[in-house]
Amino acid sequence: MFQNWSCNSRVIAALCLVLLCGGSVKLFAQKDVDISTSLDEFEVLGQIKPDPVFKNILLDTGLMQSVPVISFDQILKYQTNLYVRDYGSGALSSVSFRGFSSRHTAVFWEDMPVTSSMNKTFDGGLFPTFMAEEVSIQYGAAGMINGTGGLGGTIKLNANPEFKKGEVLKFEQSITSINNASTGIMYRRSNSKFISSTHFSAQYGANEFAYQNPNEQVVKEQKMLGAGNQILSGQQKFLWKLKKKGILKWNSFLQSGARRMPHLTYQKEVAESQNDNTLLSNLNYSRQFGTAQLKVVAGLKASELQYQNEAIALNDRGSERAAFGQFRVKYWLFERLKMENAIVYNHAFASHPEYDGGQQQIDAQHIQQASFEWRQWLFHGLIKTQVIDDNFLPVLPSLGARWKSKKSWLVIKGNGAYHAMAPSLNDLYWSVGGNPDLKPEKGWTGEFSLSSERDTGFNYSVTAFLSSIENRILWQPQSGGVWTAGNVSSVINSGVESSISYRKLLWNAVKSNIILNYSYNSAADSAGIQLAYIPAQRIALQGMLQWRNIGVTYGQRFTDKRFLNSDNSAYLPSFFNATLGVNYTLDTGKEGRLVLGCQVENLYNEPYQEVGNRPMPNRYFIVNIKFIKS
Amino acid sequence: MRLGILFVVLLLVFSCKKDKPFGPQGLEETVSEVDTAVTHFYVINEGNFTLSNASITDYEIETVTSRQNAFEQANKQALGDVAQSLLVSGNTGYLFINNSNEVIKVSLPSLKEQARMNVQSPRYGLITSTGELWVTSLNKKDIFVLDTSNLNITKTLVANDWLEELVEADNHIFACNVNQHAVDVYSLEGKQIKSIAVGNQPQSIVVDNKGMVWVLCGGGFNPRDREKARLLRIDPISFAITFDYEFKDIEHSPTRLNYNITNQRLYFINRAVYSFPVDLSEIAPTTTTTPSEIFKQEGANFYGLGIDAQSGNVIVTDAKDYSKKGIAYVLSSSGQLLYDFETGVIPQDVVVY
Repeated sequence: MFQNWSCNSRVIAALCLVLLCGGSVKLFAQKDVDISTSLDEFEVLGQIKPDPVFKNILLDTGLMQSVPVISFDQILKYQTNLYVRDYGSGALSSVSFRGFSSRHTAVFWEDMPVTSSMNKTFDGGLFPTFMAEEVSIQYGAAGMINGTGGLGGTIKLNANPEFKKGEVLKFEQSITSINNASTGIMYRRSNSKFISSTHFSAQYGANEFAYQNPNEQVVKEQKMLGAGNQILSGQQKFLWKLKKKGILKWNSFLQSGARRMPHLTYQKEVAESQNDNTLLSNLNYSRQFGTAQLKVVAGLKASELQYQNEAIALNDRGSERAAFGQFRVKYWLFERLKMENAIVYNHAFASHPEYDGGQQQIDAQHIQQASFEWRQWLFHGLIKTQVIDDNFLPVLPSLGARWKSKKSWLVIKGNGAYHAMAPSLNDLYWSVGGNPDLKPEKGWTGEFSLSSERDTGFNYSVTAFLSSIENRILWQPQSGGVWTAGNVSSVINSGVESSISYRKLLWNAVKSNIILNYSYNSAADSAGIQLAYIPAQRIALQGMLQWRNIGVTYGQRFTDKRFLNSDNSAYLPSFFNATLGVNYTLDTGKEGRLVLGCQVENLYNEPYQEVGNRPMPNRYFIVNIKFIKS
Repeated sequence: MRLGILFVVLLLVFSCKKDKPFGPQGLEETVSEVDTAVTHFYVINEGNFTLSNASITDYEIETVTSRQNAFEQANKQALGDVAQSLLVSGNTGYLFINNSNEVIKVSLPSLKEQARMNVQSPRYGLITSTGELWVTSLNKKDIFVLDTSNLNITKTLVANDWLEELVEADNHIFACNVNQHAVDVYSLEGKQIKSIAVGNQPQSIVVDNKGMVWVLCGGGFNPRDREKARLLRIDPISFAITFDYEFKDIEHSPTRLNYNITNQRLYFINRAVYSFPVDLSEIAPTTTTTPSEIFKQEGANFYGLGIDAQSGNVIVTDAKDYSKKGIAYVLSSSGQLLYDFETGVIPQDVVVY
């Protein structure tokens, strides 16, 4: 009965207003991360975190684990207000913040940047949620502390297991009705001195999904054939607690993906395929010297991307190698004055036939940060000096403050910053249209927020933001019709993000965990026109209810219409996508449990497109089984 | 609390309505019948890279009727991503859709699709005197030879670099080799027999009424290795350069060379619209004659140019900011503005049928 249903955006906006105003519906907030300035912070392995004057959220691991093993982008769609552009089941997926492009999103894995220096993007469709133990979403200038970063924001993927004796085993298997499957295995063994953590994930299948095709004279259902994929991923982490309060981590990640890309709605068969191979490895050493903390990270990245198009005999292969290092010292000048100095260096080498051989890029930074606590106030200041190849940026500042009420029912934050990021190697060196004279993109960004950080289970957050991009890199056709990269444009992004979260026991029997996000985003070019593919309004809801052994999860998101060109004369309509899951937990004894689950994706069988002419699956089902023993 | 949740659930479910469109919208225009008895200006609108919003504007002169998205109207599907050019041969048109990697054969004037073939990043085409369709490519650096009936690729000629426009003169094919700053000469069988050094960035090439080949070299894309733009004439028999005009300002980057047979003049864009005579009696081999500026529009971003071979009128398009809908100006051969009409996004090629 719900076939071909879609939703009225006004009603959705009204719903959002009702929810945000509270009313009789008590829903609730993601926990804003707060770092303590106490020395205990070191005990969680010297994590690099932005000062709490910035908006920075941790994804809820309970909600992440309540759904089947899926790609990372699916989690972001329902649990955050980030904008995910999904090119279809088993295809590429990009993530962006606050009206920025996906290339303005920096992604770090274990404190090391992993976005491609060739195109500055991170494919969210490749990273399995099974391996994402702690996901931090850092908005705007919050990510400046990490070093190499994006103008829009930063996503950090980390794992911080505890040094305690024990073993954990997890096994998960999912099978979908569109002939996809995934397998995840995790084994962790630890004691007071040593941790070994091993993850393996496989996503594979024929990916034969049905979709509605609007390109025909009459909308009709068609089936995607030949768009199968296989993505194998492994992650190994070793941690040693050394004498003299030192901790050494060795992190490695290996992935091999082979994907046949779903074809466009106006094409008849799959011809494109992409192979991705990635190796990440780093050594991470942390040590405490009195009131000072030292952190050193050295890492390497090797990746290879092969794109093939059989229809036109194209076989395009590019590879990238990157060396990353950082040296960081955090110290307390006084009890309430924390200082941090960091030197961050990233050197990328890339090889591609279109580069006329190999090209490289150096991004080196010095970061000086100070934060001072006084009564209920926290003040933050940061100055970054950055060198991107031959571009010298002597002062990139950031200032902010936070005030917190005594019971944390009101936290007021404000910050402003000026930051920059390097052009991609494709922008610089692509044989036709690349422009070696490109300057780094720069921009102001600021935000002001009201939120709560209580332990009562209910929290809220409202953030207003304003940011700009100068020297925006855009590919435009030059005389003769050849597209060339240039620093030709500027953008002003503004908007409001709000969230409420609720984690409570209902009726003394039902555990609830619900997150609702609403965002309004204006991304205007120099003529004041909304940028293409930036929806003005978005809503994301994810919730879980657990009664005894039975759990129910529900996700719903609304994405407003997205314009396709600069005079906003063409657009993709809004959509209102939902997912529903049910699971049953069996206690197998000896601290083991088995979870049997079923999930419905695209619950209302709504036809929709996230990217123009890219087909999205009709309703389909996932059956999954999890075994956890700890 | 319970009532609140119930309210939310009911609102979510029953706020929906059926059969809402979900594909790209806003492309629809008033559908009108194609008049087969009038002259058509086909403006090929490139569209924005990766947005798949390329289109064709069909302007009927006698009825003063403009049809936007004429290809979509005729075929009920989008044209594709980055439309580069249209080649007309009799009642058939060949569309070269660069980033969709497609050549589409259509009947004219209806624009109904007859055949379609994957060809890597096609740019321009030429039907040779032997009846083959030669297609140049941006990325593949080859020439694809297609069967005009079904568009099957019958052979591939290795070009070793990026070729642009091509013409036939005196039983040879002359193709602009952009990066090698040359005009490559092929036999009709596809064998490269000569490479004639010209200026930087040769992209457009025409043949005049006396069979002479004219080449316009834009001077280069990158400011670091730019040279002054040049307009050259090549004798197709001796392959000698018989005329060489160097533009005075290194910032000049002329494009879209066209030949107007009604007055034997060349037309091109160099921020404004210029014309230049091809009659040897008007110019000496080392002439100091400069191209004449015939039309200028403050703030315009001239991008495409075409000639109506019957009336001699010149059609020049303004791509504005490369994202909004553009405009086409119809000029007399002397540059007087006659009228204008709206086009799609990035109007880049104009063909008269």
